Amino acid sequence: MQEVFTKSMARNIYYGGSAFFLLLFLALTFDTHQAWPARDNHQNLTEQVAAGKRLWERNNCIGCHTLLGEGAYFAPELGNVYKRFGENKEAIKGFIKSRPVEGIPGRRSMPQFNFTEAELDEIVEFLKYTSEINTENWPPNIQG
Amino acid sequence: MQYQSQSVAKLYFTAAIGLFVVQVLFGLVMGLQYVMGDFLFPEIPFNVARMVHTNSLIVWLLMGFMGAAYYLVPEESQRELYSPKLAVLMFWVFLVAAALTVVGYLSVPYATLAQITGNDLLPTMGREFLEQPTITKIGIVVVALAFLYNIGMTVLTGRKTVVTIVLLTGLVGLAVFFLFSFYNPDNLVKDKYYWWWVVHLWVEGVWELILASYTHQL
Ligand code: HEC
Repeated sequence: MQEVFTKSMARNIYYGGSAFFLLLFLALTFDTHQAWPARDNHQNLTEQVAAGKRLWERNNCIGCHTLLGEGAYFAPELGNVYKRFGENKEAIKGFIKSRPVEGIPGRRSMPQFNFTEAELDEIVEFLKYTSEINTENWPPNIQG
Repeated sequence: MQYQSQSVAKLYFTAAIGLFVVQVLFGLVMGLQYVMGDFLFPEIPFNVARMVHTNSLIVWLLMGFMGAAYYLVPEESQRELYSPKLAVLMFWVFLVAAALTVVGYLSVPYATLAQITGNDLLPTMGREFLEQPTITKIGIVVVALAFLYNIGMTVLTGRKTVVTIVLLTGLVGLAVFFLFSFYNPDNLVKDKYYWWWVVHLWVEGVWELILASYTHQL
């Protein structure tokens, strides 16, 4: 009887399959790039927002919070915090500003970052921009 | 053990186990912080414990499978490792870089660490699992390339098998996909998209391919 599955068939499946899926993946990536402009809120990506993103990174906020679903689950989702706080920038700034240095006894606490007024504005602009990205309504409820 | 150079695996395995213990300890700290919110606050905030936890996990997995490659590739290729010296040197580079990074996480605020490591020149820090200072990331690239070179030379000048060829594809992916950790655009959507290339294509795409080649060797 003829051998059904040869070594060279296996090799062709491995190389051919890998190449096929790599190309498919690149095609999907291309398609994703095409879909971005309509939904990534880039028209509101100002210098201030970019600076806010750097501050977000430099203080590792993602190590406690999620942002649009991705991150740590220790503290509230912040992708929609701007909307949760009733689009009130001052309220968000006030919250960040008023964190006690020693934390709150018995509770999960957020560090005091000692931001300047300008830095607080940048962070809040970044959170506002993030909340206006079209995420197909993720997170599904306002609590995050 | 049929080949002498296989013994470099021992260094890697020992360090992997040590880092695993670190991972578990900091995991316990985080677990406690979930229940007792103020545990170790503000000395070790949750995000700091988490970075130590996840980053030591990443490094021990990498070390574990690097050690495994150094152990099984000589048997598979039927020759000594191309350069056992390079394997030992890269082990120490990796271990020292990882240790310094963890000390950095624990001893200064993250923003200070970002500042002293020059994050502003090439901002790559502060994204989930990619918290390492840019300089540590460059170290990871060097170690991954040296690893790929060492295993590649051993494989290509020795007996070629299914195992080693699958392994090599995996290792090329390991080096290539990590490069996306240096791409950090201002546009959050793009940032998250290419972040995913490192985090998920590494773990689910590349690491699992590498590990699949090992299981085949067994
Ligand atoms: C060590 C963990 C930790 C880090 C790091 C952290 N946070 Fe928080 N954050 C918390 C916790 C815990 C809360 C909830 C506190 C509470 O309700 O008392 C919170 C709440 C918030 C809130 C209010 C959310 C709401 O819905 O009530 C905002 C806004 C916020 N954080 C922003 C930030 C920003 C911006 C950063 C980075 C500069 C940051 N956080 C870093 C732990 C952290």
